[in-house]
Amino acid sequence: MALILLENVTLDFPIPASKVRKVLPSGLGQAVGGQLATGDLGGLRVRALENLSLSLEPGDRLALIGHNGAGKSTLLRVMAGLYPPTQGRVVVQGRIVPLLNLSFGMDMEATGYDNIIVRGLFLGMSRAEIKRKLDSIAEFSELGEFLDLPMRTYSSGMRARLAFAVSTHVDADILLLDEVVATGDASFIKKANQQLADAASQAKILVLASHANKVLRGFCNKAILLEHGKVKAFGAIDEVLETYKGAPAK
Amino acid sequence: MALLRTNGSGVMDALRDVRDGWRWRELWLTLGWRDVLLRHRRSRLGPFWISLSMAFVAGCMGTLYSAIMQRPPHDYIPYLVAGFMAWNFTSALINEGKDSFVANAASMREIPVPGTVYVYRLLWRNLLVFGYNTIVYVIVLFIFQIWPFPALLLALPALVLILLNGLWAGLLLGVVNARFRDFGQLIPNVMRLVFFVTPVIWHAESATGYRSVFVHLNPMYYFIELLRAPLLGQMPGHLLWGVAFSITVVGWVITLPVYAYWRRRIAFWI
Repeated sequence: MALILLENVTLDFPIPASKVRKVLPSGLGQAVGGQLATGDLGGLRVRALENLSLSLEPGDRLALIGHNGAGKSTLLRVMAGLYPPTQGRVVVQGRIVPLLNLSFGMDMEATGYDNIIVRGLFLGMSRAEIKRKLDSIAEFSELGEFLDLPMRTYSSGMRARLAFAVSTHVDADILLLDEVVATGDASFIKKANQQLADAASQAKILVLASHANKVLRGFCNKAILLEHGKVKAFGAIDEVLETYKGAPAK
Repeated sequence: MALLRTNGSGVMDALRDVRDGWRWRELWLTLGWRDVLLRHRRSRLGPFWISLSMAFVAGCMGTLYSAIMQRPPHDYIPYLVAGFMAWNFTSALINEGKDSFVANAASMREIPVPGTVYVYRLLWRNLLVFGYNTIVYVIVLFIFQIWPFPALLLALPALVLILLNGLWAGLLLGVVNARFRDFGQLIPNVMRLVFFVTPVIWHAESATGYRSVFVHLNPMYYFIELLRAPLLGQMPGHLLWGVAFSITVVGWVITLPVYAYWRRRIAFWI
């Protein structure tokens, strides 16, 4: 049973030892980012999410839409259990696989095979499971003999291939994706999208943050539009994308 | 099912973290082992440099300081090697424990694994370093014809006790240092001083009169001696076990509520 339930979730980032140099003239609101306020520790705090409620069930494919700093990645991290909410309640059931940062857990000095194992273990696979899937991962990455070389010899596209290959081979109940298919050449992007579609169809819940409307339309059936950490619109993907397009970028 | 709040998770939640971290052992066994290899990457001898540097301590410091301390080498060199092994192991748990979360900031922001995984990782890493040092220890025993059994068997519970303390120290120091970074600057400075006032290169009985407070009020002494004595074939006294055990209990009693209260905030601080 996969489930994500958010009730009135508010998330403040404390930023100790920080202060705003000067107060901006009123009326000159910022276009991006969360809301700034003075925190309890003397420094500032950023309100990244405010009073957000949401419930996702198996079959839901949610797109996160919004400007830079609207809270998309933060929301993904809340769902992943990485950031606990300041107020409100978060309930998550099921095996979560976050794919937030492709370069994470990659050791430049280690070989490609080593990196498959470490990343796989981090994602909650057992050694036996990784061994079983090793050929399939290697094949998908198309890195061939490079897998025996240290990762520092790889190009950034090759690194992305490997990271992506491992992450999409985990059997996930909930797949959380953050702008993941941006790197790589055209043929890889096509392949990655295919793999993602497979992984997404196996996952019971998918949450995807992206600026590429085509990608979002291809994967998602629901969407949530965030602005300064607040929900601006929630509903079917096409409606929300219309709202987003229609809204003036303030 | 996971219910999340920022503040004040219960002590039971913190204990669950300790248990869940243990379940991730395939991950931290791998990470800890790779940490050891990584430090000596691209060198021919690899982790055997750990053993080699201990051999230098035994050879150079052993011969020089046995004269300074006016002890016979066959007595002093095994004492020095066993003492250094115990000190390196125990002090590393503190020096590295303060970084248990800060040093893993990247993964703590990406992957939801229990925080204790990172502490288990550093305990395992230092246990491996200890293992490489035992090579020199065995050679020294052989050269000076020391037969440490049966007391040596007590080194095992001593190690376990030190690791139990390393676990709370890693959680407590790690969480405090995540919030107050000055704390992390302070620890290596203090530990450097503690090395000189702890009987590692000198013998505890040399601290006479009021100076014995450096030995008896020094928590490090109890753990060092607890491990060193069995390594030299001596039985550690009841007082050592008693004090070390008490420190363990007190440490956990302090750590659990602190870690329970703050553990969810770590992600914001690192």
